[in-house]
Amino acid sequence: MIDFTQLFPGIGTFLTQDPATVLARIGLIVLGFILAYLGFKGTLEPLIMVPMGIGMMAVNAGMLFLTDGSTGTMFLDALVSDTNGLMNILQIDFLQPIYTFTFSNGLIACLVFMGIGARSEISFMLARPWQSIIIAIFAELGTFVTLILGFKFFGLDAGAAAAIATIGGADGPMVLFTSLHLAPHLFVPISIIAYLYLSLTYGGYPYLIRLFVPHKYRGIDMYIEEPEVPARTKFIFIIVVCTLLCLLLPVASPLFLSFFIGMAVKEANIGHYVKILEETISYISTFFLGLLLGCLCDANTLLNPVVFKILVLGITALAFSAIGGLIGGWVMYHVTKKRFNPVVGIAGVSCVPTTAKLAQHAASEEDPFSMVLGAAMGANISGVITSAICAGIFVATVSLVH
Amino acid sequence: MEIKARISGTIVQITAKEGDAVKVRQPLGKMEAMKMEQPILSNVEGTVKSVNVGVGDKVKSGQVLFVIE
Repeated sequence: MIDFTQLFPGIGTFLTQDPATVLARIGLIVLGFILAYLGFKGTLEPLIMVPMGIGMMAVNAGMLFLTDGSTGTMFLDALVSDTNGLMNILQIDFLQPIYTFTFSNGLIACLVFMGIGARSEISFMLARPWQSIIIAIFAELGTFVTLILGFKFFGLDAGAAAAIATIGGADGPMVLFTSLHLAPHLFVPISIIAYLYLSLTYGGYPYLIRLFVPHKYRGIDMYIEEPEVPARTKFIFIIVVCTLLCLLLPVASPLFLSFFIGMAVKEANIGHYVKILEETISYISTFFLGLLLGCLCDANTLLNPVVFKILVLGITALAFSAIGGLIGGWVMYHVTKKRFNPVVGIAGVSCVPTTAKLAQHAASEEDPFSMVLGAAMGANISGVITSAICAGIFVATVSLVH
Repeated sequence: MEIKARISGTIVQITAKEGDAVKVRQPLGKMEAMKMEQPILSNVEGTVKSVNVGVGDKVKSGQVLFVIE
C-alpha cells in the first residue's frame, strides 16, 4: 500500500515536521496571501509584493521529502556552499541559477540601480546643489539613529545594525546590497521588511508632513526660472563624480557604477540603452528580486527572533529619516528667508520619485499654483547619492571592525 | 502676460482657446511631469491672445505656453 504522506508530500511534510515549523509554514502562506492581495489592490507596491507574496505561498506549500529523508523544496537552497553540492542543486532547483549568480554578489541590486539611474534627472540637483545636498544629509537621520540604536541598545553586531540602518536611506536595492555584504545571514528578513515598509511610505509619510509642517507653509511656491544645464556639463559631472566615489569607497563601487552609468547613458542620449535599462532590465530584475525574496521565506526566517528587532528598527529608520528631512526643510526655510517650502524636506528620503511626488502633492493640496517638484527631485537625487555614500562607508568601515 | 511652464513635462490637455476671457487661477490646461498631472493656471485676468502649444507637446521649464492680454 502506498503511504499517504508519500503520495501527497506537500501535505505529508506538514505531518512529519515539528509543530513550530508547521505553524510558521501556515503563517507564511497566510502572510504571502495578504502581501500578494494588498499588492493586487495597490495598497502595497504591486511590482514587488505580488511576486513576493506568491513566492512565499508556493515555497511553504510545496515542501517535499528529499532523497536523504529531509524536507525541502524544488525552488532553491540558499545555504549550499560547497562546489559539488552547488552543481547538483543548480541542476535541480529552478531558481538556484538566479540566486547563485545574481544575489550573493549583489548583481540584482545593481541591475535595479541601473534602472533607477536611467530614470534620474541630474539637472534638478545641479540647479540648486547645496540646498539639495543639505536636505539629503538631514534625511539620513534615521540611518544614524538606527545604527546607534541597533548596536548599542538592541545588542546587534555592527554588521547587522549597519545593514538594518540602511533602511533609513529608503532604497530597496541599496538595503539588499549592504545586507548581503554586512549581514548575509539576515539579508532575507532585512530586505523583505525594507521593501514592505518602503511600500508603506506612500500612505504614511503624508501624515508626517501634516504633523511637522503647518498649513500655511505647505503652499509656498518654489518656482524659479532654472538655467538650462547643458547635457555636456551633466555628462562630465556624472562620470567624474562616479569615478571619485569609486576611488573613495571601492567596496561600494559596483553600486556607484550602476547608478551613474544609468544616468550617463541618458545624458549621452543613447536611446536604446536607456530603454533597455529603464524598462527591460529594471522590470526583469525587480520581478526576480520580489519572487526570490518570497521564495527565500521558509519557516526558519519567521522563527528567528531577530525579525522582531528588524521590524522595530526598520520603521524607526524610515520615520526618523522623514523627520530629519523635514527638519532640513525647516532649516532651509530659515536660511533662504522663507522662500523654501519645508515639505520639500521629505524628498530627501530617497525613494525616487515617490517622496518628491508626495512633497508636490502636499504643496498642491494647499495651493494648486505652487510648484515644488523641481526642488523635490533635486533633493531626491541627492538622497540616492548620500544613501549610496552611507552604504559605502558602512561596508568599508564595518568590515574593518571585524 | 506670458504663462510659462513651471516644470519640464508633456502637455496633456488644453482647455483655453484664443479669445477666451480668463480669470486669475483659472486652469488653462494640464501638463504631466514625472507621471504627475499638474494644472496650468493663469496668474492674470484677461483674454487669451495665443495658445503656443498643443496636446502631446514636450515643453521645457520656462517655455511660454499661453499669452494673455
